[in-house]
Amino acid sequence: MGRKLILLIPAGNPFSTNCIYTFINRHNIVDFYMETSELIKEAKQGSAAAQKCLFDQWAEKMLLVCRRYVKNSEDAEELLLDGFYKFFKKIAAFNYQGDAALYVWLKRIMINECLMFLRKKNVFTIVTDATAAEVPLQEEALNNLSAGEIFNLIIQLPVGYRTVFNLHVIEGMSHLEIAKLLGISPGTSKSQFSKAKVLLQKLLLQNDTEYVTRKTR
Amino acid sequence: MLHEKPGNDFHWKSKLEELESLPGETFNKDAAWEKLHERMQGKHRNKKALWYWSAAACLLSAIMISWLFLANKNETILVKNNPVPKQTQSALPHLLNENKTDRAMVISSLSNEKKSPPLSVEKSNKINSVFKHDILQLKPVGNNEEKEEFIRQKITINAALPVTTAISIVATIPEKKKLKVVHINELGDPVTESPNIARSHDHRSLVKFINREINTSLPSSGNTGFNIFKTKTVPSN
Repeated sequence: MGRKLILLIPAGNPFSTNCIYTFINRHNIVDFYMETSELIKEAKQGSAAAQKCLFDQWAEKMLLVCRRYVKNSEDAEELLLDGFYKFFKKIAAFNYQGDAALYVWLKRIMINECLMFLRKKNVFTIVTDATAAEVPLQEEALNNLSAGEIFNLIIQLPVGYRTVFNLHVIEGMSHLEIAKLLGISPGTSKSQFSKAKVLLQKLLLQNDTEYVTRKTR
Repeated sequence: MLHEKPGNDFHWKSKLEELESLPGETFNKDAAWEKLHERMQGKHRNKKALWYWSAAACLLSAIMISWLFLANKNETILVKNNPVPKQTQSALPHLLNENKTDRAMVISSLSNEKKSPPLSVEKSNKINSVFKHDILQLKPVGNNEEKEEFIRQKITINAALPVTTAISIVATIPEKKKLKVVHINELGDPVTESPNIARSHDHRSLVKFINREINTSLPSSGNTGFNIFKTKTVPSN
């Protein structure tokens, strides 16, 4: 069993990450903190310990991103590893400007990996009518949903709907951008999005009992 | 990026970004890191490629086994199609290529041989291989009658010997080198006793049969139908 010690390592520390990591393993320290800029610096030099620290720090968040696009957990894990592999290979080109920038960079790599995977599976051959009506979502119902429930709702959508929904709502892309990225027309992207919303409404109604009980509280 | 309809969507985004881990699922970071580390060190192998290679290996081995099986089957068929008299026939004519009458005699003698009880194919092949060697060493000197007699003797030996004894002889006696056949005329000087030459004086012949010398003699009348074999166990020098 590991002791719950938090090791604070300041920026510009005189020890190498390998040295710190060996110390951590020897003393069974389960959690430690080190400046991300230092980790990036060490990882650029090829330190496996620094790479592991970065992986531990971001893996779970990135897995969530992958799971939003790919339903199968094994595929999502494989894509996560592919993404991190690319990240560590291209880390020399990355300029650290804060955790938010790192998050965006990592997320973009993961999304690209997921889209490549979906493209290989040829899931974007969608035939739809471009004149789909706008479907408003029940805002009240959505506000009452937790993050986990929203996540579960999204992963229940079919792959085409889910991809467009994720890119438009979560990543904030326009339909034109999505159309270019997926190789479909903007109308198709719009149609997919509105259909995704219809399906989400249905899914929300299916979970109506829970929603009603929450509403009455 | 254009936000075509901000508001509700933004709320979703902020909510999802709050999420730290998968709801109801566990993720083994260490195992995932091990996999990634292996891949980064170049130990990673493509699973698909591995499957393709193993499938190809299985297919190749199946083809090889079937091919070997069929090849063995063909060999056995070839042996079975190889009849006994044909081999004897092929070995004999070089002895009698002087005139047609001799050939006719050989054929008639072969037809007599056909009447002998049939032997199993594989065993008779073995016997023939032994006799082929034997026949090649036969060098009768004399007229056509003597040659005919030699052939008859050979055929009777071939028919009379039981299969088991022939096989046992082959098994027990080690193969020896062929002795050189020396013609008397070539030497110029007549030799009193030539060990490996079949002699034709006084209707007698010395036949070398499986490294044993068989002294054959014909009776003066020649109508008895039996041949007398005198065998020597110790080879004469």
